This record gives sequence, structure tokens and C-alpha cells, in this order.
Amino acid sequence: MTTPPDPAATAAATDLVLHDIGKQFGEKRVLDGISLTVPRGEVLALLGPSGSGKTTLLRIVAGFETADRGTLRVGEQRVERLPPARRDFGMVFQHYALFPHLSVGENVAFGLEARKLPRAQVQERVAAALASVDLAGFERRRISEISGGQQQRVALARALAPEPRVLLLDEPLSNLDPTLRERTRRELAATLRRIGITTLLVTHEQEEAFDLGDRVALLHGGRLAQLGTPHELYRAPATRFVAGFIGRGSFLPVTIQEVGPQAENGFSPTAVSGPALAPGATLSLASRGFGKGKEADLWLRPEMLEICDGAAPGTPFTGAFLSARFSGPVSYLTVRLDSGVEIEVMVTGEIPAPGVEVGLRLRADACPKLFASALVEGPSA
Amino acid sequence: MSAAARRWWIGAGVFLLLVWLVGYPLVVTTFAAFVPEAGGVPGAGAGASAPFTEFVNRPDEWTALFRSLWISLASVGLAGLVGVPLGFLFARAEFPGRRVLGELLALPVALPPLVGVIAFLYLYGESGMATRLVGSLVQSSGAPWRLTGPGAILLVHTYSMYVYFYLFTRAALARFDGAQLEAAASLGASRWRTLTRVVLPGLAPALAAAAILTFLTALGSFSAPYIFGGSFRVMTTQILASRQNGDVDIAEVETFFLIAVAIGGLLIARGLQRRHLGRRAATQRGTPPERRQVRSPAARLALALAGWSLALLLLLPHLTLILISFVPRASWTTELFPPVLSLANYRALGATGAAAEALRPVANSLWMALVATAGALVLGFVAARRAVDRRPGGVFWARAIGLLVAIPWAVPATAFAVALATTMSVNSPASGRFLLVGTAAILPLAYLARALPATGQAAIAALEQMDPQLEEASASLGAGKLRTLARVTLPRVRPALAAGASLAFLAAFGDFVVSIVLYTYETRPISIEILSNLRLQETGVAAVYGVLLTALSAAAFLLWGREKEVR
Repeated sequence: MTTPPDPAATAAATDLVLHDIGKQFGEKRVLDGISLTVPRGEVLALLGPSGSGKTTLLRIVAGFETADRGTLRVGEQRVERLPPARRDFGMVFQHYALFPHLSVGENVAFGLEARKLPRAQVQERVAAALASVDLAGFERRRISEISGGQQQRVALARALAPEPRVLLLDEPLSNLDPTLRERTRRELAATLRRIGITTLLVTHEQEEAFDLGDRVALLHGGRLAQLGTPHELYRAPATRFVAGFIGRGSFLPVTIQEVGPQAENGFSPTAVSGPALAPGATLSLASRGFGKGKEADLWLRPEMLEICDGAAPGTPFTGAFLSARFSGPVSYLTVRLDSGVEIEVMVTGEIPAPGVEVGLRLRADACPKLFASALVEGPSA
Repeated sequence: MSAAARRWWIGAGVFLLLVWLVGYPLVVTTFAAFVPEAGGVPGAGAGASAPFTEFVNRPDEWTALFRSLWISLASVGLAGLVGVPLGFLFARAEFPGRRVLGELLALPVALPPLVGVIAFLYLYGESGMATRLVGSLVQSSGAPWRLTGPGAILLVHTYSMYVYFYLFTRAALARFDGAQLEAAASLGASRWRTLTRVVLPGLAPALAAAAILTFLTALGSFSAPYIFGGSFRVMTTQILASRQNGDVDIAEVETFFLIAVAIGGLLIARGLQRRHLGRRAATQRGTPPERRQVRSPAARLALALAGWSLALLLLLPHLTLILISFVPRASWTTELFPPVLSLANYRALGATGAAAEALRPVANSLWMALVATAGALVLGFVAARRAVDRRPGGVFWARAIGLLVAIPWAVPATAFAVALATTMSVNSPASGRFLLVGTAAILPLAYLARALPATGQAAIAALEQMDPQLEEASASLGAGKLRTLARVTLPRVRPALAAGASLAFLAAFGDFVVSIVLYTYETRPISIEILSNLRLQETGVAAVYGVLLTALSAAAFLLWGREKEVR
């Protein structure tokens, strides 16, 4: 594998650009106007629940499905009408799709032979591709003789050997057991970074998307729910769906008490109160687009809260500790607030005894968000 | 043209070709049965339905139809009685010689039916070896039994068709989830209760499939009733008799009724299967139970002895055939064993001058079977590709093509041959009919159509099992359609295709039923030559042809039929 040329020099030539992709299966609209640009060398993770359309989108990019509308470009070249064999994209399939009747070496050589490379060069590049995934000397092995993790690496070597313009990964780690998956993910991340290939990765696992993706496109119901870096998706979810899908969090019904003057970034200092908060308590945060007196849902991640003395004046939340989920370095406590709503809090220290009355307050660095009330927006939002 | 439209048109083309080959003759014959003088050409001679009325009013026609039906049902019962216990024994018990015996037991299905029948004749017929032996033991002046009538037909049917039940039972038991047996035992079920409430219901789909196969095979069986039936006519022999008497119209009506019974039987069986067994088939996962080791030395000895006696019994007809092939003409009269054995019969075949003519049937059978197999292989694979196509455009024809590929399997061979003879005895290219009867093309074409289910169904099964992503992976690596076909698809389905091809070849090479309706002297196959030698009392020469047929069939079976899949 050679080091990629300076991204800036060739960026325009090899961006992968999806524009307004739409697809329907019968009556069901699977994709609805997806537009994305994957700059050269970027790994873009397509994340979403099952049925969100992410696999269909990947198959459209690969050429196995045809979009009903929209265009697909690599640099200036339109590719949506090209058959898969002429797109020069490499793909790693969920179940690898290694050819069981061919040896490891023959599998990796397949794409090179299809491109009619001279035999010597094929052998050379097969050896190099296998070496790059730590399988040097495995050429003559049968597919059935190697482990699942090795099969995954052969699939990657086979896809990369012809040096495609774009790499497509369809849930590449889902077939591995958890410990192997962790290690393979690190190796995959390292390989992708080293060769700097434009990559589209489909996964339903947030951790995988965050770890491998430079950016993450979250799909929901065939639409792009949010596109951003993992950090942006986690810290600043654009919609209630994104907030609920990424990470852990709770939604509490509140009423807007005060809205201050709008700052330059569009946010206004806002005070909220409501049945979920302790009687008389208010909470201050920044919000955008909410008017005084409106109902809203306050979104809090477990790590935004900390336990405090419930009797102290001004404590925003009071309730009884219900149960704890211990997960090593941190624990997640479930607290039933006095209003009856349950909320999760992340703690690093002692776990209180069940039934103990506790108070909860925002950490200093917390950035809670307001979303339009679920009752108004509807359950799917 | 979009990819979907292209798939639609290719599907339409394959559909039309299959309709012409397997569906159209049946339609023409049905039409001819009702409109006699028309010969299937619409419009001409409409209104006269004399043969149909004649058929309905003739009691012997109904008798033949009824006999066909009960012989087929009785064959199912008898074959099941022999095959199922054997299947259990070889799937569940471990004893010396189990492997070899288990393979031997499947042999009768691989042997040409006509050869099996004449081997039976040589062994148990009026002057057969077993008949002479028993006759001399009981000091009877005449033969102790007569191998004729329904009993003889059922004996031959049981001998050749138990294999379906045996193989299906074995295969189903090999897939059976051993945990189900453990679950039944843990719930306190006795062995009998486990058998009747767990094992047999689990086997039901396989047994039903074996029953349907046996029923259709018995219904279409021709060799046994033809050789042993005597005056006991079933529908297949009735059809040939009608044709040979020049009652072509009546033969067409008979053909129509035989096809109706076959398709009716198939539909009833499939309906019952779907209603009662639909949800059972796919639930069996897990590892099969361990084979039970037979430990008691006495029981092991008894089982081994019984097994080898059975194998001998099964092989006896064919061993007899080989022996008879060494008996020179008219050298064996009343003796228990043939007094003279020589290579005379074989030499006669190889003698200069006569050789070309004597070997002509062998060459005929070989080239016709090879051409038919190659054609069935190509058409079967092309049709199978369409039949498993679930993509837009392709899915439109998939079901119909899958059905068409299976039709020749359900239609008795005699009926199909008559239908083809009716259709292809008229030259009317505009209506898709060509004058092929009497030419060298008709038999290969008929063999091809008959062989289509073997190659087509095998290809369908293999393609459906193949991971569709393999072809996508190939395309994503830059391989074009041809390269993907040659390097990925064909290697994956090759074992199934080879197995299908070997079945197709065996059926075509050993065919008697279709040939006797459609052959010409120039293209007479081995089976017809065997028959004419039997008529000339040339039993030794007939046996030589029988041995040749069997040996070449076995070679083809061993060569192509057992390719293993690479996993």
C-alpha cells in the first residue's frame, strides 16, 4: 500500500458525492432525498436503526440496487448508471462473501485478474495485500481452514488489492465475537488511516461508527437525521430522534418560564420549571426557538447530572434511588423523581442503598437541550 | 433498455421456449383428444368427439385407468414398507459393513428400468434360474410360480422404488435434531411414544415427498407392465397398444386421462402436504443423534448376515444378467445351471462386418443421450437462473418457469412421448409444429425434455442455496458477467449440475418408454435392441446389451454423480 497523495491536491477529483438519492420498494419509501459528500480519504459511517435505509444506500452506491432518483459522482464522473464491475469500488460484505471454492490467494487475486494485470504483478500485489492485513503466507489456505477474524481480513485484503477509488464496508465487524471485534476494529481503523481511502461504512453500532468514522451520517426512516463528527452528534443532537438514538439520556417534561435576549449564536438563556423538577425549582440553560409558557422536553444525559443533598435549597431534582447498573469504571443509577418520572445518573463512586432520598443537579460542564414536547411532535420524532 | 426490462424479455424468451418444449405438446394432445380429426390444428374438423365418447363408453379403458391407480398406490405402500425400516436401520444403527451396504441399497434406482426388468425375467421368469432351482428342489414338473400379472409388476416396483423411501428416510434422519429425542426422553416418553409422536411426524415431509415420487414413477412405469403384465393392461401399456393398433385418436384420449391422473394426484398430494405439513419442514436444526452401536455379538452377526443376504438379493438380478450374457444361444435347455459359458455373444457384437450394425444401438444411445444431456444442462441452467431471479423484471416469469421445468417430471413418459409424437408429426412452423417424428432429432429432443427436471431442479436448488453476495462480490471486484459466471457461479453449482447431468444421462441412455413410441430403425437405442433380441429368443445377446447399458450407466453415475461441494 502506498501512502496517498496530498489530499488537497486531488480532493476535487475523487470526492464521493451522493445527491438527492431516492428509492422505493413498492409502496415503501426506503430512501428519501439523501445528499452526502464524502471527501477524499474520509471515512463516513452510515449509522441508523434497522430499516433506516443505510444498507440500501450502500448497495446503491455499490451498484447492486438502482436508485429511483438522484445522482452519484466520483469527482466529476457520474457513476449511477455504471454496472458494479465498472465502478472501481471495493466492498467488504457483512458475511464476507469469500469464494469458498478458491484459496485465500485466489480470492485476493480475483479483482486483479479481472483487471487483467500480468501474473507476476498479481502475485506481488496479493502478497502485499495479505501482508498488510497480517496474513502473509496464507495464499494457499482454503477459506474453510481459517478463522472468522482471518476471513474478515481476507475480505478486506481482497477488496483493497485492486486499489479501488472507494471502499464500501457493510457491517464488517458484525460477524465477530465481542473480544475479536474490538481488536479487529482497531486494526481496521489503523489500516483505513494508513491508506487514506475514501470509505463508506454501514453499521448499526454507535461505538463502531464513532470509532471508525471521521464523520457519521445518522439515517432515520430513509432520511438523513444528522451529519457530523461523532462529537457533534453526541454533544449537539439536531433532533429528538438523534438525542434518543445516540448514547443514553432521559426526557423530562418542562414548561418554559423565562426566555432572555438572543445571543449571537442564536441561543437565548432560558429558565424552565415543571412537574419533573422539585417544587419551586428552576433550571437555567440555553435554548433556541422556544417561547415563554411553552411545553418542552428537557434532555439530559446521565453524565450531565451529579448527586447532591436533596434538602439543599434550589436543588432542581429530588427523588428516591431505585437501582444501579454497574459497568466497571462507572455506574448508572436509576432515580425515581418525586413526580414519578425515572432518570439515569452516572456516578463513579459509591452506590447508595435502595430507597435513599437523593438530590440531583447539573454538572458545571453540562449542556442540556430542549426539544419540542413529544406530545406535540409525535412519538416518531 | 433498463436492466429490469432486459430481464423481463429474457424471462419471456426462456418461458416461451419451455412452453414450446414441455407445455405445448400436452396442450396439442389435449386438444386432439377432444377434436379428433384436427390433429390439434384449431378450427379444422371441430365438433366430432367420437374417440372421447368411445373411451368413456369402453369398460376396459376404465379398468386400465383403475389398475394404473391401484398399482401406483400399492407400489407406494409396499415401497414404504421396505424402504422406511431400511432407512431407520442404516441411519440409526452401527454395525459391520454398514457403509458399503448403505451404498449398495441405493443401486436399483441408478439402473435402467428395462434392464432391471429383464434381469428379473432371467431370474424369476418361467425359465429363470431361481425358478428352476426352486422347481428342482420341490420336484415340481412345471415352474413353481409364474412371474406375471399385478403381483409381478408390484414385485418389480417394490424392488426399484423402495430406494426413494430408503434414501429420503435416511436423509431426513441424518438431519434430525437429536435434542428433540432427548427432550422427549426427559419428559418421560417411552421409545414407542417418541417414535410415534416425535420422530415419525418429523419425518412426515420426507415420507410425503418419497410417496409422491413413488406414485408418479409407478403411474408412469412402462417396462414392468409391458414385460410382465400380459393381459393385465395398465394405462401406459394400453396407450402403446392403442397406437400399435392404429387407434391414434384413442391413444390421445388415453394420454390425456393418464396425464390428468398424474397431475391430479400431484396436486392432491401437494395440497395435503401444504395443509398438514407446511410448517414442519424447516424446524429441524441441530445435530443428529449418535448412531446406536449394536453391541451384542449375536445381534451384530445377525444384522451383518441379514444385510449381506439383502445385498445379494438386490444384486442377484444383475449378477444373473451378467451370467446369462455368457450363455451361447440355444445351449441351455433344461439344466439347472447353464452348461456352457463362452464369450460368443460378446464376440458376435465385436465381429468384423457385423460390428458396425451391432454396435449401432450403443452408439445411437450414447450420442443421443449425450446431446440430450448437454441440451438439458444448458436449458436447465438458463431456466434455473430465471426461476430464482427475484429482481424487478425477473420475478415476473420466475414462478412460471420454475413450474414448467418441473412438468415433465409429473407427466408419465409414455404420455409425454405420445404428446410429442402428436405435436411433431405435422409441419406447421407458424403454429410452432415441425415434422420431427421419423427424424434423428425427435428422440434427443424427447430425452432432453424428459431430463429437464433433473438438471433444472438441481440447478434451481443449487442457485437458491448459493450466497447471492458471491456474485455481487465478484462484480464489486470488477469481474464482468462472463467472468463471474465462469469463476464464481458455475464452480459453485457444479456438483449439483453434475449430479443432475448424471441423472439426465442415465434416464436418456437407458430410456425405453419414450423410445418405443418415437424410435426409427436408424436411431434405435439399446433398449429397443434388447427388446428385439428378446423377441428373437436371443437372450444371451439381449443380456450383453443389458450389461453394456448397465456398465456405461454405472460409469456415468460414478464419474459425474458424486462430485463433492467445496465448503
